[in-house]
Amino acid sequence: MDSARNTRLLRRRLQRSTGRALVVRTAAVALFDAMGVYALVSFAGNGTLSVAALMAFALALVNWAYLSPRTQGARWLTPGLVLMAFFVVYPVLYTSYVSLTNWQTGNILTKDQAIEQLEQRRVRTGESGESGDLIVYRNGADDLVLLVVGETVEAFAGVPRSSDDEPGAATAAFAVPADFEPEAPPEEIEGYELLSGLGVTAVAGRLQDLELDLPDGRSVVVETLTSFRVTTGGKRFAYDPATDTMFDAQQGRRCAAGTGTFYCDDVPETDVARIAIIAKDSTIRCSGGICDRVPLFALDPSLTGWRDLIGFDNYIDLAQEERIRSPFLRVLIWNIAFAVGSVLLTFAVGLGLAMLMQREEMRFRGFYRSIFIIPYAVPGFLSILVWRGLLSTEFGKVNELLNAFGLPDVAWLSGNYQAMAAVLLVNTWLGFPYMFLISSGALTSIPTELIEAARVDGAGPFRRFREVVLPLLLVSTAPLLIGAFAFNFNNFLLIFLLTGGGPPLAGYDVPVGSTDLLISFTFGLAQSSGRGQQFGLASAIIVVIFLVLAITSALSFRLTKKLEEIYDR
Amino acid sequence: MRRRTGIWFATLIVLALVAAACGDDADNEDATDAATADTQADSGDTPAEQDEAPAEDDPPAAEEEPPAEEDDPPAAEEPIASITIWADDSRVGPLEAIAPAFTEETGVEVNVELVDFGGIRDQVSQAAPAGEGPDIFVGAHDWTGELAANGVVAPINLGDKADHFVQVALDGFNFAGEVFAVPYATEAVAMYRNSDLVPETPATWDDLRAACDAVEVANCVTVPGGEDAADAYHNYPFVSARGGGIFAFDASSGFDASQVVLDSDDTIAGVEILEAQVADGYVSSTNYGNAKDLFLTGQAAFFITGPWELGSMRDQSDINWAVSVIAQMGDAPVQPFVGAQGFFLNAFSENSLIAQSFLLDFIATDETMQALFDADGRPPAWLPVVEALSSNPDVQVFGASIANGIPMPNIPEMGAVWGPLGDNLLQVRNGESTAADAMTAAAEAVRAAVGG
Repeated sequence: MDSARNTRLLRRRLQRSTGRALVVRTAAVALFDAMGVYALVSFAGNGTLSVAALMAFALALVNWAYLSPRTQGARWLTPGLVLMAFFVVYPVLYTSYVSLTNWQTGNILTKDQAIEQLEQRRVRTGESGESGDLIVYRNGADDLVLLVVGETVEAFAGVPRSSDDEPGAATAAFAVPADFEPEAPPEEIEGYELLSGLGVTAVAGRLQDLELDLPDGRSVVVETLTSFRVTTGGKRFAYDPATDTMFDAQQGRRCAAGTGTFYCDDVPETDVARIAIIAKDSTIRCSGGICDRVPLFALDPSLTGWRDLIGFDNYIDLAQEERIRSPFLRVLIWNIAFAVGSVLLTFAVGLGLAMLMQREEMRFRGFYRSIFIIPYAVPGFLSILVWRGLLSTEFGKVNELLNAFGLPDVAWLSGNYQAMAAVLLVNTWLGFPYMFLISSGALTSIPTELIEAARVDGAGPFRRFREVVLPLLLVSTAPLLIGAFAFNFNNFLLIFLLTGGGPPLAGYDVPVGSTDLLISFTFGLAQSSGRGQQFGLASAIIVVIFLVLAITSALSFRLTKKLEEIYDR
Repeated sequence: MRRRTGIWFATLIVLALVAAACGDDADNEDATDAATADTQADSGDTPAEQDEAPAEDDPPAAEEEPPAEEDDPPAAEEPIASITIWADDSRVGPLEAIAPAFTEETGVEVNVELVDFGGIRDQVSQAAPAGEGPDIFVGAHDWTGELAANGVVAPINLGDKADHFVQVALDGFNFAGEVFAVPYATEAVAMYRNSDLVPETPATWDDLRAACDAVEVANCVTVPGGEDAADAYHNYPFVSARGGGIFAFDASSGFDASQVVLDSDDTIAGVEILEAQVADGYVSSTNYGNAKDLFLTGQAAFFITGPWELGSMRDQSDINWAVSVIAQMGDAPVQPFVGAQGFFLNAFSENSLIAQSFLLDFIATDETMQALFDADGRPPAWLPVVEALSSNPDVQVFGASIANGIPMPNIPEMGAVWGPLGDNLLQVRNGESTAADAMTAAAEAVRAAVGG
């Protein structure tokens, strides 16, 4: 009865406030839309279409949720959904996409960008070409004339051409005064006026694409604002979109586009870098001193390629390659042990202290409580580095302390098992305040009657803890423990700053240390395979880590649910 | 009814705002274009500005001055063009100090942005293709291979100016036959000595051991790359002590990643020297921080590191110290890794001509190179400045060390070397592995990564 009247009252009040709320709401949505559409346009403009699509989805969702009259529930969920789409779903999808590509050193550009870069390269002649003075003139119609003079270049003024055009006979040459001196160039050449230094800067964007053909058949390029250089070779590459091939003037050969780069056939083996032939993913086939399917970078490692979809090759590599697989399993086991160990240790210490702080007879509890928060309040960056110093084998305070008690030095950071212990120790220090806080809260919410009842029934302190306190505590803290597990599973910062993954493990072909987590192992692997950085392979590992975590979390939540069901009864 | 009006109202606001947002952008662009056009139009013949420039401007132009300059003076104050440079904290200062001279001469505004040195390399590869990178950036020569393979740096033709650079610096930035940066500094490790403890420079490693035996000192030589931190760079003088190395080197084609020589007899012989020093207690297991602290506090006789520590030696230490090339271990002088720093040109720069002018006409000059040396302290890569510093003993010592050394390989495959080499040398440093085992393992790991 009472609640029905309340509901009616509430509804009336809501209706009254709707007018004002609508204005505020629409204004907020309008603001969001304005910014959102601006972002959408700029994302679409610079080619990040996936982000643009995501933005469009977010805009549609927000407008629907806040402007449609029948979406009360969605309004509360929308901000979370939008943030989740941007910061969880999108990174996962993008990482999955990268894991299907050959994204690595030498293949980071798009195909168009790679072709653009290649087309700027010139045929290599081994000579640098002479340089000399460049003077720029301009007429009223904004046409440019270049006057060049150098050691073997006689003073010559002419109309430049675009560097994309074929060199031809010099067009429209102009008479240069006989008494010409580069230090005091003529003010004017046939209606073209001398440009000052600032004037040349203003047309720099046009100059950088210009070439000038000399009467003697040579060409010069504009090299700086005041100098030119005689070209010793023409453009090296010319792309033909119709056949998707690239003509390489250096080799005089036409190469066809393939995965990630252009591939040339009939190349003499002596021109091909041996490292490219023996590489595990090599496409090169040689017989009788002639090689086919030679990628451009095998001819010249400074010729770039592009990123391309390669299907599940990275996953297949991961599964098949012994040099990655064996350390991977080693790291996975330690990773799980580390995450579980960290959660158990921090929870045990935190809960122990919280229970201690609950005892009435404990004095100065407020003081201790504040003290316990300190490790949590100091930034991890700082305390991890301090710990690193404290744990130093020869110079650290921890070993000094051990020595004072007559104990021998412990190689905290350079022994395999010692380093694992050190990592857990430091992580316990960093993590127990959090567990202390949540256990304190959860403990106070446990009804004291239950504990009293257990006491009356004759349960000892240990039994009371095990059968009453802990299960009730776990109902509320289990999700947080799962969160802590997931966090520690990827605790890159701690490992990176404390041990760097080390000490190194012998007997593996990839750099791996005894405290490496999957994430730090991946970080190392991404930077140290073959030709530099391998983002595709690293992303494949990240996806595997994600799956491991997702499955673990799903299973754990199911377990927690069971827990709740049991104790709800 | 009322609600519906509200929605229409809201939609109108949205559209208005959207229009405002987009329209604003377009307006701005137009305005900028117009401004640029204006500036172009009158700067072309505004000798009033030229007069400020110290250059060889011709006075006659000032007389036949068209009235354009009164048109809009504000436009003239805006820069005609601008370039962006990424530099780390030690180079931002000198670049900002010299930039106004370039601005005065050319009207180009120079924006120097501070980027952490270690981050420049990765950020350039991301930002440059997206059109957000700098026009010029400071970098180390061993990035050259990766950046060039990524297509984000443009080759630079130094022409005759190449004769003015230290050869090893040019070699460092040379990848596949082209130079990809304008070098300005070089560095290599040498040997700092506590001259209170050891007054005489030991010429050979035997002299060094004898000197350490003669005094009471806890640590004879501290070298980074022990304890808990792998550091292949600082341990490399031992790797090359007997002629060993990482990859086979050919003067014409550079390093050949298909020929790993880490487990050659020469390399192992060099690392065995290191192993013996560790076993005999002459080389302590120290990471960088402890190696430095021990030396600065007088607890070590020798400290092997580079010229970047000269400043802290002068400022933070009470001991008397001197610096010399590393004591000889074999028939030839010790061959450390040489690093070079230089200015790269972003291949995606839209101001490539101006950026190139900045590098060739402005950086590659005596004044700028001197200013960079004054601020940075590393041995210059510009020969005229090196010659002018003939009376600077520190530069001479590090210069000698550089002359003995070889540039760190700049091929992208080096990424697969640093980890295994550093880790295995660390095990030798900590007495956990023999030279032969460690180098064999390192060689296998590198072969597996680059070729297998």
